[in-house]
Amino acid sequence: MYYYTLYSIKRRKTANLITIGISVMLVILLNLYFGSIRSYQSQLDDLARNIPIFCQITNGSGSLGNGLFISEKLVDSLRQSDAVADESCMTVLMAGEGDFPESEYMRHLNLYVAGANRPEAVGELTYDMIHMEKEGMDALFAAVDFFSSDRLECIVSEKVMKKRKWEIGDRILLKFYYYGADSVYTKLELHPMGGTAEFEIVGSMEDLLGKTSAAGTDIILPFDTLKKVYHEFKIPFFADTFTFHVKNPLKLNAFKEEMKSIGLLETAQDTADSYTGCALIVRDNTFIIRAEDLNHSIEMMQSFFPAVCILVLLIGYVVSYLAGSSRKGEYVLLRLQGVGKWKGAFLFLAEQMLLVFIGTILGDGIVMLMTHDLYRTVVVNGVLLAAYFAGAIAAYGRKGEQIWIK
Amino acid sequence: MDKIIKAVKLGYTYQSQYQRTRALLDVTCSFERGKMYAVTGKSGSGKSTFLSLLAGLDVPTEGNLYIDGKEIREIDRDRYRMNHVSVIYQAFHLFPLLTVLENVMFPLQLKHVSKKEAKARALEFLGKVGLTDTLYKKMPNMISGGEQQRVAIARAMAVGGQILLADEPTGNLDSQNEQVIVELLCRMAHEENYAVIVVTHNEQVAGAADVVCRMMDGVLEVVRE
Repeated sequence: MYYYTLYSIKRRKTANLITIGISVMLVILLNLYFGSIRSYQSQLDDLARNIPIFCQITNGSGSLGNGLFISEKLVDSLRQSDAVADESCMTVLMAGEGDFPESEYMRHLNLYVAGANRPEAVGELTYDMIHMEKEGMDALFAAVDFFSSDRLECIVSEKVMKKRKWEIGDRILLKFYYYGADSVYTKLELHPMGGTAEFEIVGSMEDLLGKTSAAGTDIILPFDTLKKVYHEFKIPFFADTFTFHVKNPLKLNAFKEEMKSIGLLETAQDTADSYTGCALIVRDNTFIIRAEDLNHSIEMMQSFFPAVCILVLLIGYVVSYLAGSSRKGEYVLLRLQGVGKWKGAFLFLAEQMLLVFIGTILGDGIVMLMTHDLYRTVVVNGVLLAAYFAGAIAAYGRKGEQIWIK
Repeated sequence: MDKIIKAVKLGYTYQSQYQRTRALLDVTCSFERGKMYAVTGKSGSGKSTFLSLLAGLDVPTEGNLYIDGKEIREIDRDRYRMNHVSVIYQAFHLFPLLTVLENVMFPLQLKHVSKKEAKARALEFLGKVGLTDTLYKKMPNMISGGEQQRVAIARAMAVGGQILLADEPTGNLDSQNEQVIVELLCRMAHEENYAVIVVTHNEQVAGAADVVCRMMDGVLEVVRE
């Protein structure tokens, strides 16, 4: 019986070409529809890269972003958090060369020292401005390694190196004075750390003063090295500044919950000024506006999905109904020959779906040439064939019921 | 004689949303194989309805119709149409997408006869109705009305049943072709042993029939036997 379908496909060239053409058009239209959704989704996914969300630890009122006392526990929690990326932290203190009596600190205390976990933490310092003993990429790797280490090494500004006639590879003895605060963290004071530590100069840096907006830093130590020094002298460690980016801005709410759980507060202007780093400023306005725009576009496009399915279903229904109407005589003849009511309708349905399938394959070929997106092609085929099939079943079912053989 | 069709108080009522129309009333009759019957009557008298019931396209609303001793409601009517009854129409009703030969092969292939055997038998039937092989590969719309009707008769032969129903089979034909078709129908009855029932207005067709019945307002009466 099915050979009749094959004869029909072979001999009804114009009508079949129209059906195949409609299917190709539907494949292209559905690809445009799903492509738009995909494009918005990609833009949303890329938004995190294009518009990173900057965060900064501040005091409770949000008036200070550096010179703070950010507890070691908070620093460690942030550095270990999976929600945090590109964290920059720094602690500043003063030092003098050699071991001098504490009574002479005013004369000796002339080196500005920063402990940082990356160059960007120290004002606007970049890797380009750091010169290690090695050359090219090796120098870069050495600098990266320096900042992530806890070795007793340091980088010294070229101006200080020249003035003090220091060379890379020299070892220098430093006596530190750290910043402390009163009990309510409202007044800064310098305190001796209580001893000296020796560091090897492993690189130099261009003088920041004048080149960038940052204040001059004479010596940079790795952040973890400085932390180790604090621990050795049994002094509580605090970070001075801490900034970072949200790792996955698309999960901003989860990020904020996590920040709250590790003890960070939202800034409140009426909070009394202090040096305690306990609040978090999240600069997410631009991201949220853009992300909401994109989400709105995605939701709007997705809300059309039922309408798109209904449209394909209706096209399937109308095309099948018209094809069935023009072949009413054939259907009656099939029935007269003893072909069952539903079997007869199924013959036409199978023919229609075979043509639609051919059209879909052709459409897929055209779309794949342009997009190479197999996943979308599979989704489009699924939607198209399911909706069209439902429409065609409704049309032929109705036709089968309606035709009264006279 | 072999009574293949027997109608007992057969009735049929069309029912729409707004009206009921009784198309057949208490028709009691029987049809034998080997005879040609003519059913005459005015338009709307119920002839085509009667033919539809005999073809198994619908079931009577009243009474009983027995086909070869079995009540029509109890048999598989699709199978009945496939194996026992053929209908030919004034408008020929050949499959427009199949060639002359394929049209005759179709009922055989529906019954899963192999393509080779179906072709051989179709050629035999086409030969019997006097069609030459130059026509076999032509599409129905490329041949004359008389030729199309002969193809329809050949297709009826291919069904291989016992009943041939014809609804105004000569209505669209000229007198020469009309004569050919009437002769073929007579041969189907007398030589092929079919019960041939022809619904017609045509007196020449009715004249060739062994039995003439008249349908009037849903009632069938035998005029000549």
